[in-house]
Amino acid sequence: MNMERIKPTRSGLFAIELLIAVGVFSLCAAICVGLFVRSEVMSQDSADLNRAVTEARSAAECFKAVGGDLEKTAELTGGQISGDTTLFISYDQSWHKLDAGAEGAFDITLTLRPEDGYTGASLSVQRYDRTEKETTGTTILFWEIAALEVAS
Amino acid sequence: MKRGGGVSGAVSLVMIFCVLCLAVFAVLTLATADREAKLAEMTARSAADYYEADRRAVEIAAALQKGGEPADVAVVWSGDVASFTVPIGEDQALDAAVRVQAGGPCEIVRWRTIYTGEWEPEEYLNVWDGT
Repeated sequence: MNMERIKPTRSGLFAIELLIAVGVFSLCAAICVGLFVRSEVMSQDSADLNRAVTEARSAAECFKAVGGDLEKTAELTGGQISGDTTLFISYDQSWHKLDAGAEGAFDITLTLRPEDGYTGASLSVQRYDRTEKETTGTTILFWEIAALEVAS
Repeated sequence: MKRGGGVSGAVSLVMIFCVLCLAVFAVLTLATADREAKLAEMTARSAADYYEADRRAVEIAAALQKGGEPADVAVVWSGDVASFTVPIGEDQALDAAVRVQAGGPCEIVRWRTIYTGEWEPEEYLNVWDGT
């Protein structure tokens, strides 16, 4: 039996190198794309947190300016009062205010808690992830705020 | 390039360059996003600290209006004006002064954030004196 060794040709080696290069590149690209996606999610969360702080601060200052009056706070902020003690302000994904009763991506909730000599309230910002089956809410911010009575 | 084949190693070199570029940009993007997230959290924490101190100051003002005086806060009276400070986080404080009035809500005279940490002014500036 004639055992002649087959010599690798130049084009064969090039093809093997190309295959390995494409494989390694694909693997590294997949990892890097994962990092890019993670960065995008982190940036979006940071932007949402910054905007939540700004909007919550605005609502808190309105509440303090009117001495804890929920109706006046609703007028100033464009929110909707539910019951006698809760104010909702809804926002869409881009933090534009929504009309009363609309289901938004973000909500600011101000719940009154009358105290002796002043008006306290808990202020929270929730983010909603809505799917066809369910809606999950996450609290981004939670502050306890208070307003002194304002001279009329 | 020779007939029937490629330049040996050129593909690997291009691939290594592309992968390095991708990796560097991915790490830089992630580092920037991480710093942004930390800054956003710091801003949120600082706002939460401020409103916590603000709530405490409102409690104190309401107690003073009712004639009481909180035990854990030093209140300085100047006529009918009561001054006190409430710490905000580590190196800031809410400096407040309220005028206590009988039969009505107290009047806010001062309500400001002050820096309470150590501060060393720069006293030496290396300026060329012309010689």
